[in-house]
Amino acid sequence: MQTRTKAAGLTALCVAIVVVASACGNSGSTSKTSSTIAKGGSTPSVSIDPNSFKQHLPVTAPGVTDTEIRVAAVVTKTNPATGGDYSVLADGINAYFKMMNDGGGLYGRQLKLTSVRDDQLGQNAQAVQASLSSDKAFATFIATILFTGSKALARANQPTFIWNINPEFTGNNNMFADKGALCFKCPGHILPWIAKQLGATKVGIIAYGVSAESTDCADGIRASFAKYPTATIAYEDKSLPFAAGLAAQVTAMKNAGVQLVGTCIDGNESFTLGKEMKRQGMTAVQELPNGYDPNFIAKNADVFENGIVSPQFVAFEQQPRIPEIQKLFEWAQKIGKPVGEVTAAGWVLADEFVTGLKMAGPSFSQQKVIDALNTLTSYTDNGFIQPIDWTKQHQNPLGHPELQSKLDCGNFVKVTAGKFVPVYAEPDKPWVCFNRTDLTVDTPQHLSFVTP
Amino acid sequence: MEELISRIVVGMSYGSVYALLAVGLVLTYKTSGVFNLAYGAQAFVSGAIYYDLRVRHDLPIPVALLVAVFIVAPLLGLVLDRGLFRYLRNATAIAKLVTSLALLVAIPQILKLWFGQNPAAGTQGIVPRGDTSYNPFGDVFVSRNDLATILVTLLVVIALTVLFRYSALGLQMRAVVESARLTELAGINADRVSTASWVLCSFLAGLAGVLLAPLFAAVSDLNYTTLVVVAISAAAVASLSSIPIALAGGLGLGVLQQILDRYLPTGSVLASNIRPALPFIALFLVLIFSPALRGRRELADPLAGVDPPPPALASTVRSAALTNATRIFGVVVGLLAAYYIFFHASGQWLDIAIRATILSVIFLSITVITGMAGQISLCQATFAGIGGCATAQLATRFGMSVLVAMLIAAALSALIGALLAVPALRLGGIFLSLATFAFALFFDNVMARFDWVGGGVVPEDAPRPTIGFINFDQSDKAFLVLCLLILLVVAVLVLAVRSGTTGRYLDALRGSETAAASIGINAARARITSFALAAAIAGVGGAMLTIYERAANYDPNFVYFQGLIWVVLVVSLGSRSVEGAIQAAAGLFVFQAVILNQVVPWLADHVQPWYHMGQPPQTLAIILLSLGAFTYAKHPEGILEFNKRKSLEAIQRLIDRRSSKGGATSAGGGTLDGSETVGLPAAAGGPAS
Repeated sequence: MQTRTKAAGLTALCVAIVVVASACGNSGSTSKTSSTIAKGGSTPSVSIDPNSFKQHLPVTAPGVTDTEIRVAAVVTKTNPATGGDYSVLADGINAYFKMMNDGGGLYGRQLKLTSVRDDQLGQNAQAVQASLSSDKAFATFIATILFTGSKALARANQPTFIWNINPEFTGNNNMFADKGALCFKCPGHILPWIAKQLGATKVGIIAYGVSAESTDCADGIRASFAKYPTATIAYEDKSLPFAAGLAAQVTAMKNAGVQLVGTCIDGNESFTLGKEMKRQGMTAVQELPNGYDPNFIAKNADVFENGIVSPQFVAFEQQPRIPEIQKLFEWAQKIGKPVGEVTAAGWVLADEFVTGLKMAGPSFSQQKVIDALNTLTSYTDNGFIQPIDWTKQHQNPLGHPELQSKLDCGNFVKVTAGKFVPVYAEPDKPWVCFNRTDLTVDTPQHLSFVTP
Repeated sequence: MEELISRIVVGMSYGSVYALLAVGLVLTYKTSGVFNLAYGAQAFVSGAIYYDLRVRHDLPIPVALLVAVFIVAPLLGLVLDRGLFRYLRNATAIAKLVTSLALLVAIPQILKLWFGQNPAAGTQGIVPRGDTSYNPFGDVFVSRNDLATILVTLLVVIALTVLFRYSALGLQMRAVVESARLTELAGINADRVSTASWVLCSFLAGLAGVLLAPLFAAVSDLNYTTLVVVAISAAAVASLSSIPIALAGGLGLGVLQQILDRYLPTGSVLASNIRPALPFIALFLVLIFSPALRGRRELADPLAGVDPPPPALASTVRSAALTNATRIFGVVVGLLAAYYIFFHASGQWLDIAIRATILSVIFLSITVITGMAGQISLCQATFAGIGGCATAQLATRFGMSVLVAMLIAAALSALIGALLAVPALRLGGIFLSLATFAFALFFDNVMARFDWVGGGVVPEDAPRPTIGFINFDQSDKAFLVLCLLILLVVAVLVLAVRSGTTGRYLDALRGSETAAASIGINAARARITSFALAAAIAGVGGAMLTIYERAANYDPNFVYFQGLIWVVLVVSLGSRSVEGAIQAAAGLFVFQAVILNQVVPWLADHVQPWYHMGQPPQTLAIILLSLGAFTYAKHPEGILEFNKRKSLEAIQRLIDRRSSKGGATSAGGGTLDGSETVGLPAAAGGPAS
C-alpha cells in the first residue's frame, strides 16, 4: 500500500514537472542566426588620426587603467588530442605589444597581456568564464580547438580575437580572427589550380570521419574539383579514425594512379601518410594545409619531400620579406621567442586589436573597438594576410557566396630537402589570387597587399 | 589478390600487438582475478619511456629496450602487486575493477607529469631502420618493424604456452586464481606466485607498448587506451580463459580491420561512422552474443562469501538526535554557502556552483547504478551526452520548450539505457562494465558525429528557459536556483526509489541473487529499471549542462573518459548515498578551484608561470582523486561515508561519556559497523528496513 502511495506520488511529481515544463518557454537570444552584424561601407567609417595616439583621456572600461590597457588570453597548451601547443599565441601578442610599448604605447598607456590561461582542450568554457570574471581584461585572445567559451564571450560583448581554426565565432560581431569566417564545404580555386600546376590529373582525398570539420573539408575539396575540374577525384577516404594506419589507403591510391593527395588531417597523420607513401614507393605530392611547421618538416624531411604547403599568411620564406614579417622576427627576437605559425597568428591578432583601438580614438571603449573593426572592408595587417571584409565575414558563407571575400588567395612553399622553398610567387607579389566569380583557374593574379 | 595479401600482412602486424595485449589481459585475469583495464596504461608507460630514451636521448635500442621493457615494466607490475592488488585478492570483482579503472585514469596522468602533457611525435621501433620495407612480390610491402612485431609475438606466445603447460609456476599461478586461500592451505606461497604473475603480465604490457609505438606517428596515451579495446575484444572472444584463442582473436581483429579498411566504401555515412568504431562494435557484439560469456560470472574466491556484508549507511543507524544535529548543520552550511554564492561570489564561483550542482545530478545516476544496483556502468557520460544533444536538437530544430525537451531527452536516455541493459545485464559484473565501455566508445565515435546528434562542426545551440516572468537567460543566479530545484527533485526521486520496492529488490539482489530469486524477485526487471532510471538522471544532468552552456558541447563534456573519471570519483567518495554524490561533485570543483588553483600557487610563493601554464590543475585533481579510489576495496561505502561513520562514532562516544557523567544511560553504543547501532536498540540496526 505504501509502495503504491509512493508510486502515485512519484507519478504526480512527474506530471507536475511536465505541466510546469510545458508552460515554460525559451529565451530567444541563442540561435545560430540570431546575432546581427554591423553594417559598414566600403571604406572605414572612422578615420584614424595618428596625432591622437599619444593623447591620454580618462577611460572607464574593463582592464583599462591610467597606465595600462590589459588583455587576456585563453589558449590550449595541454593538448592530448593533437599535441599542438597554442600557448605560443602569447609570444606573438607580446612581441607586438613590446613594439608598441617601446614606441610609447597607445593613448599614454602600455599594452599588457596580463593573463594566459590553459583551457586544457576540454575546459574552454570554464577558462573563459574564469578569465571574464577574474582577469577583467579589455579584450580576450583565443587559440583553441574546442571553443566552448564562445557564447560567454559573445554575451559579454568582449572584443575577442581568435586564431581561426574554429568557426564558432560566426554570427558574433564582437569576434575577429586572422581569417574570415571559414567555410570548409565551399568550393575554392586553390587546390584545383595547384593540381594544374603540378600536372596532376588524379587526386586523392584523405580525411577523418570522426571530425565534422575534416569531413566537411573533404567535401570542400570534392566540390572544388567539381566546380574547377582540373583533375578527377580518383580516391576518397573521409572515414578515418584518429591515429589510423594508412596502408590500405595508400595502396588504393597507388593503384588508382593518384598524383596529388588533398589532406584534411593533422600533422601527425600527414606524417603517417607520408611514411606509408614512402614505404610503398608512391610518389604523389601531398598537400599539407596544416604543415607550416619548419621544425616538424625538417625532422621528417624525407617523408614530406615535395609536399606543398599553403600558410594562411605570407610565408616567412617569401623573398624579399615584407615589412610586417621583418618586424615580427625583430620583435620576437627582442622578447627571446622563436617565430612559428601560431606566433604569427598572435602578431596578426594583436595588430588587429591595436587597429581597432586606434580607430576607436583616445576615448575608446570596448563597443567602439568592435564597431570600428566592423567597418573594415579590407584588413590585411599590412599585407601579411589576405584581405578580410569585416562588414560581412562574420557569417558562415556556405550557401551564401556573397558573404565570402572577393578574392580567393593562397601563397605557397614546397618542401625541398626539409626546408620550405617559395613556389608560384612573383617578385614582391607572394599571393596567387582568383576573383570568386572566376569560373576557371586559368587567370590567376599575382598580388601583394602591402600598403606602400 | 596481391592487395588482399598486402592487407593481411599489415593486419598481422597490428594483430600481433593486439594479440600480445589480449594474451596479457587473459593472463592477468587468469592469474590474479583482476580484469586489468589499466593494461593499456601500463603499455603506455613503457612506450613513453622507450620513446624518451631512444628519441629524446638518442640511446641505443638495446639500452632503451632494457630499461623500458625489462626493468621498468616488471617493476611497475611488482609495485602494483605489492602495493595494491595483493590486498585485493579476496576482494569482490567490482572492487578490483574499480581499482584497475582508477589506475587506467591515474597512471597516464602521473606519467605525463614527467613525459609531457602532449603527444610526442617521431616514434621508433625496436629494430634499426624499422621503416625500411621489403617487397617480396607485387604490391606486398613488409617493413622491418612489421616483421619484428610478428616475430616477437610468436616467441612470447610459445614461451607462455610452455610456462603454463609444463612448469610448476604456471600451475601454481592457475591455482592461485581459483582460490588463493585454498592454495595457501596446500602449502603454496600465494603471495609469491601472484607477484610472479604480475611481473610477467606487466612485462608483456611493456613489450606491447614498445611494439605498438611505431604504428602511430606519436606516442599518446589515448592511442593506447583506445587500442586496448581491441585487445579486450580478443580477450572476450577467448572468454578470458584461453591464451591461444586470445592470440587468434587479436590477429583476426587486426586483419579484419585492415580488410574492412580497404573494402568498405570510404565515402558513405555508414563507412565514415562504422569503420573508426569497429573495435568497439566488435567488443560489444562479442560480449552480447558470445555464448561462453552469457551468464558467466567472474572469477571469485569460493571462500569470499565468509566476508561480512558491507555496513549499513551511517545515516540510517544514527540516533535521532544526531540525525537532527546533522541536518541542522547541513542546512546552516548550505545557507551560508548560498549566501556567499548569491551575494558575494564572483562570476567564476557562480560558474563553479552551477557546474557542481549539475554534476551532482549526473553523479546521482552513479548512485543509482552503482550504489543501489551494485553495477559499474562506464557510459553514464554517454547518457548525459544523449540528454544534452537531444535537448538541444528538440529545442533548436523543433522549437520545443527547452524544459519539455529536457524531459523528453531524459525519457530517450532511459529508453536507450533500458535497451542496452536488456542484453548487457545478462552478462553482469565486469562484462556488463565492458559492454557499457564499448557502448560509450561507440557512441563517441559513431553517433555523436552525426549532425542530427552532435550538431556537426558547430555544436547545436540550446536556449535557456523562461518560466513566467523569470528569464533564465538573463541571470546565472536564477539558473542556479533552477538547477538546485532540479537537483532536489532528482535527489528526492532517488531516495524514494531506494526506500521503495525497487530499492529493496536491489538490496536483496546485492545480498544474494539466488536467495532473492527464491522469494520471487525478478532480478532482470529490477536491474533494468535501475539502469533506465540512472540513464534518465544522467540525461537530465546532461541536458542541464547543455542548457547552461547554451550548446551541446559533446566533446568537452561527455566523452567516455569523462565517464571514467566520474565513476572513479563517485565510488571512491561514496556511491551509496545522495550526499556522497553531491559532495563528490562539489569536492571536484572546490578542490580544483581552491586547493590547486589558489592554495598550491600561494604556497609556491606566487609562481605565476606555474599557476597559469604549468601542470594543469585538472591533471593533478584527476591523479589525486583517482588514487582515492584505491580505498574502494577497503571501504566500498566510500571515503566520505567511512569518515562520516567514524565521526559519528566519535560524537556518539562523547555524548555517551557526558550522559554517563550525568547518570543517564545511553540508548545504544559501540561502533557503527552494522553489528551494533548508535542511539537505537540493537534489534533495529542494519540497513533501513
